[in-house]
Amino acid sequence: MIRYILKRVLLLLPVLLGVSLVVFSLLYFSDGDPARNALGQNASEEAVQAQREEWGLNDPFLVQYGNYLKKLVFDFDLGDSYQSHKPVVSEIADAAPATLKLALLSIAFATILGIPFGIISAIYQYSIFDNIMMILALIGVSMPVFWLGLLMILLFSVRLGWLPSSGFEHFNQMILPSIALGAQSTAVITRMTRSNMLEVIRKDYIRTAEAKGQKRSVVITKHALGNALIPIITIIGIQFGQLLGGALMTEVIFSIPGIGRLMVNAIKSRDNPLVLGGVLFVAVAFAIVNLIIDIIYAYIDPRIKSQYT
Amino acid sequence: MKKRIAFVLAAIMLISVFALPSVSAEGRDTLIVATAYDAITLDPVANNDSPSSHAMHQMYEGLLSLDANSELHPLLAESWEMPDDVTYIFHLKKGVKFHNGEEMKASDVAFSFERARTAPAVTHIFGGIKEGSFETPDDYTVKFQLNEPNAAFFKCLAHASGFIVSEKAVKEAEEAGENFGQNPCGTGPFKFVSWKKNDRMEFERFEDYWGDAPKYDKLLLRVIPEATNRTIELESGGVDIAYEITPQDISRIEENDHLQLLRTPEFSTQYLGMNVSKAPLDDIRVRQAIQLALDMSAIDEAVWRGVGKVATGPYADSMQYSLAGDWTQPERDVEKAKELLAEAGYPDGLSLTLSTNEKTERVDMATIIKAMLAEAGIDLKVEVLEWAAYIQKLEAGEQDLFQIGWTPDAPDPDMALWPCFHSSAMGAGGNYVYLDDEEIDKLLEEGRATQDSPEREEIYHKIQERIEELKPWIYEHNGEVVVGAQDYVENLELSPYAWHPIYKVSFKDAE
Amino acid sequence: MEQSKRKKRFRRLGDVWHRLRKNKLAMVGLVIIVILIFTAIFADYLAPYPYDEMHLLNTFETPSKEFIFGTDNFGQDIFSRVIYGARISLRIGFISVSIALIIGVTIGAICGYFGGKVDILLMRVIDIFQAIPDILMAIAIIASLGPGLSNLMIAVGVAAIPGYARIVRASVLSLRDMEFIEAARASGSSSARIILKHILPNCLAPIIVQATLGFAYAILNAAGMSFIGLGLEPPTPEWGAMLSSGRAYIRDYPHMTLFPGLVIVLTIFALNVLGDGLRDALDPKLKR
Repeated sequence: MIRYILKRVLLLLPVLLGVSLVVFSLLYFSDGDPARNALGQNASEEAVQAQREEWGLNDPFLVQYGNYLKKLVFDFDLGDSYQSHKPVVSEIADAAPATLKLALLSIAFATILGIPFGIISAIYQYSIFDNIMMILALIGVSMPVFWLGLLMILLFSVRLGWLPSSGFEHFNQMILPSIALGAQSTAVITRMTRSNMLEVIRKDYIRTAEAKGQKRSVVITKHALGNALIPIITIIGIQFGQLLGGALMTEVIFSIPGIGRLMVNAIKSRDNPLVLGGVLFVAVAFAIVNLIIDIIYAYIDPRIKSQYT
Repeated sequence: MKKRIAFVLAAIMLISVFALPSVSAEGRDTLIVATAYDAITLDPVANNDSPSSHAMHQMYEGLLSLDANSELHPLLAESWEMPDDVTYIFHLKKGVKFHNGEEMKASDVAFSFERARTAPAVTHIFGGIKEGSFETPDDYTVKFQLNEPNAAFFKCLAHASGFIVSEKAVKEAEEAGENFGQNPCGTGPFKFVSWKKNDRMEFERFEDYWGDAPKYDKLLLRVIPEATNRTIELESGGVDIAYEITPQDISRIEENDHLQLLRTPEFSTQYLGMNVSKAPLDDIRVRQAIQLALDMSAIDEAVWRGVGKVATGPYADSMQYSLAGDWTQPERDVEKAKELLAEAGYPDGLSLTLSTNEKTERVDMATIIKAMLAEAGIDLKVEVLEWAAYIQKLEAGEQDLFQIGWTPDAPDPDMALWPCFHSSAMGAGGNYVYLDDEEIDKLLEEGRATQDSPEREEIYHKIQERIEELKPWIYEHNGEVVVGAQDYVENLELSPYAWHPIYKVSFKDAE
Repeated sequence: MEQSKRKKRFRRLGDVWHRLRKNKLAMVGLVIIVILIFTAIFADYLAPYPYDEMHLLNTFETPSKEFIFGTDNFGQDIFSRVIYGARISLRIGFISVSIALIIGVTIGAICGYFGGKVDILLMRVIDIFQAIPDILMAIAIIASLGPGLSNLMIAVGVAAIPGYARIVRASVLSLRDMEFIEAARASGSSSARIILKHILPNCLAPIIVQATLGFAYAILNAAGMSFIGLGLEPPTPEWGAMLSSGRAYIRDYPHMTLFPGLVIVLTIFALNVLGDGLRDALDPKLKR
């Protein structure tokens, strides 16, 4: 298993290299001068030029990129933000917890609701509950987070006054954003759970177990859920990746100081080191989630484990 | 198998529980303020943006201060002399402590001003100090000279870039390889505690403050960019004060018994600029036609809905020597506009581009301007750019029409007009209309060198009239500061610059 | 030979249609999409007002006979803007999916068919693009290319390439060693011909499904870009932009956000159920 993890980590390195190159090029060709932006509208042209020199922005592309890589690889240094002059690492460390909490809470919310809903829908296939759940799930999948978020603020913060609409410090501030962001995942997980359960329920060994007179609920939890879990975990993994994108909208609507807003502001203010550092961080986070998902696979289903040696 | 499932589910639950922080109660010893934008830095000379200035006003002080009526008062300077029109001598207050415990000395003042003199972001304010002219005859006297006489300079001493920093703290930060903007040290009533970007900035009362101690212990600035959310937080009692209340929320706050609404005119002027160095806008008739094709009062009303007012001159009427109060926006006259266009050689109309950044109100104004100009036969393309790309375009002189605002850094006509109209400021300096007029240049130079007097007033009247004659700007809007607060908040003074001195706030006893 | 093959394909298409027709939900989706296309084409006739006509005296009107969905802060008729918005959104969906499809399918087919070093190299490139979240990628591309409709479509399209490439590669891999391909190869067909004539037609099913779902995703992404202020210049009636500008007025005039939002949800819903239905209809094996 350790060898497998090591291999995965090694495979990640060229990807990160590529990511940095792609983002670096996009930034390089962007309109707008990072130095002008950092110094403000009133700075003199000479001052801006001096700043460009200091940051090496007048160097040819390859020299700039090479210098960035050199600092990153040899000093593990992502540089300082052009705007705040704080190390990029500490900027990310400030913003990341909110986004991670938001993502985890929403996926937890989606799992806790989605799996039981899916199971019940499968057991009582074509019942009223099943039909309502499936229609709700379809609407949920089609609901953009930025619209759902607004509607929820309108209902729960404005009309009912139950929950706050901004910030991300106390638990009550986290409820609305997590639900808004998790709604789509809930819908997807419900649908996946249902269809996987249906497939498994029909399998012979379940019928056999039932025929042997075991209680239906026991049979279902024991056999069916276990076998249906793998695809469900996959979906959770995929959803988690998409969450990072949706988190951005959620952060905007609910004024949450997370990675998404940090990145959008960084791109807008041409804070190149922060943009690069942030994208690399997200790429690594994404890879780690995928790796964990794969390890959970192996844990749940020992048959898969053999592939990883 | 069952155990494993339970394990996975338990792990998920555990993670979610882990994410719950403890709920802390905040008493009435803390002032919580909802701001729309986060500061960029807490280093007085590193940037010149309003949110940073606002935050710094709570923890730094300058030699002088400006009150809400733009009157200057002594602050860290007790008295001053001007032996000639370029030499300034300040006698400092004694016993003023920095947040790091050091006493403020003349050397700190000289050090702070030398930093400001060379800082790129504020050269337009402090760049006029003569290099190497600082003298500190004793610990409480500082003397320096300007390169040229400048009547506006004195008022700039109240600007955030003139705040006095502790020389020792700056050098310590440098040695430790840290940024002073993240480890700030001033003499103000509040002391910096922590800053979480895009989220919150925390201050605590500075116990050794030389002046009146603040009435509360902790100051918390929360960043809530969404206007709707700021108002909701105010209504639900989550914050004590909320800035930048939008027009649609004004009546909501006024009608709420637990809230109060405060407002004061800003010094900002938004304008529709026309690049006079580029055809067809180099033709005065085209510029006049555009003015006549627009009903700025109607546009102002539709977009700002009663906040601020339509601008009538190149700078706000609340400032010295302004003629804006005597002027009005011209009546809309589409036929006349068409005639002027025909005279200028465009009987069939013409196509122009209006560049703007993504600020909602500017985009909204652009949208209506487009519709109105269409009636006069002008096909306007609205181009919405991000700030960075937008400024680059303006500085390169590629724009036709554009929208931007200007807030002078000190309440002086020189600060309002020079950067926007003097030929030396073309492009990066702020003269984005690329006006190059000898008469205006000469008058601006005279105005800068003349101390406040009836002669100075006359100079600035002439300048405004000449600008109106050349018509490089169509005046759009003078802003207004609109702030909402809980009814128990007292002594909340608003500054026309949005640098509100919230350290003066107190709470009404009975709730 | 060719003749009968073509006939066979038609018969298969007929089967698909037959199966799709039985799926009520998918048919609902299809009808909605057809109505949307119809709306987009005949917007000039259907919309009661031009999308940019301002009635500055009738701002913030709630829905009425005169303005079915009410008016916005400029007094523009929201109903007309929603109708014209169908044009913009469908165009964004269509073109950005085409961009993603053409590049993604090409890469996927090359990787799957040739394998080896080409495969490893191209898939690493795909990995790189997939490691950057779509929305960040799109924002960076807009920052780099500048705003505007065509750049927005490129931004949204490029961000979606990896999905297509992976799906096509997987299908091609499963087909590559099949007998009929071997036969074509033995008869001396060129690689390009084999890919175009034999392999791609046989992995159309997942491509169509992904394209339908991708269409929805593109519209959502573009709306999201408008939402964070990187959308199209005004007064373009893009649904996301309408929703975003209504956000400031949501407490007093929720109709400004409600209607554009509803239309987005309806469109995405239709594309989703149609995509699901197509998946079931195209691949009978998957059917329960």
